[in-house]
Amino acid sequence: MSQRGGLGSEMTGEDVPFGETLVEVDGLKKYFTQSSGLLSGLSLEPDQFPPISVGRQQVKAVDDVSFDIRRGETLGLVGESGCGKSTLGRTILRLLEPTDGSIRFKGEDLADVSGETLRQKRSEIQMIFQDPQSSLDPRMKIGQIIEEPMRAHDMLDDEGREDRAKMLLEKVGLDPHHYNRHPHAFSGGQRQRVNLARALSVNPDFIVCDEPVSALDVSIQAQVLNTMEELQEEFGLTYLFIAHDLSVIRHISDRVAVMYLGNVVELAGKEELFENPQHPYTKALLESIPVPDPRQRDVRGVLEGEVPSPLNPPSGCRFRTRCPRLIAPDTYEWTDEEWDRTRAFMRAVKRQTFEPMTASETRAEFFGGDLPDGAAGDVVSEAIDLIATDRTNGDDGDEAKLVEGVDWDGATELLLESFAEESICAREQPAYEIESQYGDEPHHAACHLHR
Amino acid sequence: MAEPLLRVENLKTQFFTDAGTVRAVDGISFEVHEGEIVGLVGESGAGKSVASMSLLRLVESPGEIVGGEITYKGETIFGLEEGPDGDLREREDMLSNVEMRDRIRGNEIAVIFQDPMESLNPVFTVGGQLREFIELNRGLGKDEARQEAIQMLREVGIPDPAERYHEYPHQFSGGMRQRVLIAMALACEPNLIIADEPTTALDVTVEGQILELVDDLQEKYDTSFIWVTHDMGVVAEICDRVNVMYLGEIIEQAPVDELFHATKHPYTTALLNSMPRPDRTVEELEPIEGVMPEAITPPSGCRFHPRCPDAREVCKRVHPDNEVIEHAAGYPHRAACVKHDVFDVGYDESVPLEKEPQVTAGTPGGGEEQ
Repeated sequence: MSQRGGLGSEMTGEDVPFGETLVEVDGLKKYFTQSSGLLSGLSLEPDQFPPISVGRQQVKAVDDVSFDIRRGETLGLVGESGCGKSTLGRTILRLLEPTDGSIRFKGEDLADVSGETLRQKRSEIQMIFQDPQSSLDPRMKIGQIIEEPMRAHDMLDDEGREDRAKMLLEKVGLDPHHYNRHPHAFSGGQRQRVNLARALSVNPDFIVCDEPVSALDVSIQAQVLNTMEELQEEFGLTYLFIAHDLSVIRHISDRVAVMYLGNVVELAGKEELFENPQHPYTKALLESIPVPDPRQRDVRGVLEGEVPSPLNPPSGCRFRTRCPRLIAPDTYEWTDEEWDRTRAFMRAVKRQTFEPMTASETRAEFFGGDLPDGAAGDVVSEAIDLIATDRTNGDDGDEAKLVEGVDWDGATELLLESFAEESICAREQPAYEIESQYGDEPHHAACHLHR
Repeated sequence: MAEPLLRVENLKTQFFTDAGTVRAVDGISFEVHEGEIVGLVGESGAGKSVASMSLLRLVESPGEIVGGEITYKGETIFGLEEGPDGDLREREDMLSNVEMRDRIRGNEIAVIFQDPMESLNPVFTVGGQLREFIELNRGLGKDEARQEAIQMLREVGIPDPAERYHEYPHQFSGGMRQRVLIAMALACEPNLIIADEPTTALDVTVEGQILELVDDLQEKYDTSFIWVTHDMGVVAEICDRVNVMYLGEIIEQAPVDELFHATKHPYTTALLNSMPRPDRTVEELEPIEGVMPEAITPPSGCRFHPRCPDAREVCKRVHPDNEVIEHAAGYPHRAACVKHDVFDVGYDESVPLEKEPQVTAGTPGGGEEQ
């Protein structure tokens, strides 16, 4: 991914040709420390000396993300809430301090610069926020709002700034005569246009757009998206377009990165990603979008469970706890069917989605009466016994007593440890390049199915 | 066809504000039959939420239902008649407030709101709230209600329900909270559930889970739904019949397949064309020009005419009712657009309206201002 890294130092100032790397993000990490309360970092460990340790839990919001953005393109960044996409956007702009990694903009590492140099750089990178209401100061006129960044960067004189503001109002599709109006006089779509004009005022090369149209109605959304595309063409802009809406992403992006729990799990050209998705998460995401066509109803796929906490993300592939294609651990001999059934059983036990029943009923329900062969079967059988309602106390024949209640936790732990944790998905971080079927962009998919 | 479960006729709800009267819902009519999911779709400000709250008589001052009739299973939820002095007054057979509260809301018609955090009390446990609701509405004892509550939580797919029964709403994720609300709505086995944008605040994979759940539960309990949404994708996914609202009126009403594949109203067409698609790449979006006007000063004639690509001079003068254009799948397909022959008001001879000049050339969105 960093094959162009060497070029970085030679590129100075304005002259990054179209199609060449403008922004290069490498190994970027952003961790947040949890600091709610004075004692929150303390943990008690009685078998150690000293028994109290001070350790801060870290939320790994963005964890080792690398990609590059070329001049003139739109890179779509999509993911569900909490996956770290907004944090990533803000860290690239240095609105948040990166924990580790580099952000090269025109060859210069933004993670290194600070103070005045960084402030100067900010005229070349701008941001548009989701909420058009709260990102405009209600007491300022929109003319002032658009001129403010220019004033901060000492661009032009008063008259020149006013002319430019009016020119930009026209460019974004507003009436230049509204220069003296306040934000409240505008609708949501129009306010987002004011935001666009403000971002454009300092003539940036790169704009991070964080959910710019998700607060707008569909009909207005289309208007703003079209304007953004026209401006991109006219001003030679590069967008990082962050959104949760895959339809919008599909419309506006050239390439798309999919994020899950702080990692980029798949990155490919737009057609390739939507037509030939290779990561099970991307597939699940695409299948769960309701398609506006009643004749395509039956293709919905549903993803089980919820996103795990970023405080303690799963090892290896972070999607493995929900992945419908979790790879069978090779410590056992499996047929595909045996593994499918075992995986389904494991998930059902973990989420306790069924009422406890007798061992033979459980067997019939999840395995059709046939447990997997060999060692795997022994583990499954042991787990079934732990949650069976006719569970007995030990194997002492006539002494056997019925045990009250079932041991969900024990069964879950046994299954996870024997199977899920043994899978390659849990043991190794995936990162694979595969061949694209649509277009010739490289296709990156972080899934061990491609090993 | 059997008598519908719910019949709404010419319903009007207005808000009396200092700035004038807002005709939020202006004469809508539709029916909900047993076991079907009826969509109420439109952009923000179309009046869909006010319409759905009117059905339960939950409109608060300065809003008021000023006209029309709502009949549920032969009982009158709302109806007016002319009194001896010529004034309109509430009909005698209209259900009283007490009857609405005790018999209808929750037991017969339940609601699921968009924001589950607003509908759950943050200081009581989730299980406690569900149990209380079941206790009060179904007259079960405390323990029985508790068992029933846990059973309901399991039914809507909450993992480890016995344990999570004791947790507070903030310990649930958004999708899980929405499941709790669905459990609550289903707890009294109502015949009709009004779902007001229940998946709008959720992520797409969670939305998928909830839609799947509703599908399953609907099959099991045969509950009817009124599904209020702005998302045509959700409509296509879940609804049997659809009402499209624009500025307080229903402008098209059709079975879902006809709505998408034999669209009769230019607004619906425009709405469908302005959407980016998840299943294919659309090179050029066709936005609807302009914004929806305020309901306080709706345009004359057809309310969509200032934004309509098919608008002609006659559209400014004639206000179209929602007429039956054709029949499909046993249901009428209605549309409120004079370009259809049934209206016969001289659309074909009428001159096309000149589009108001764009604010700037080259930006198709520039017309948004007017």
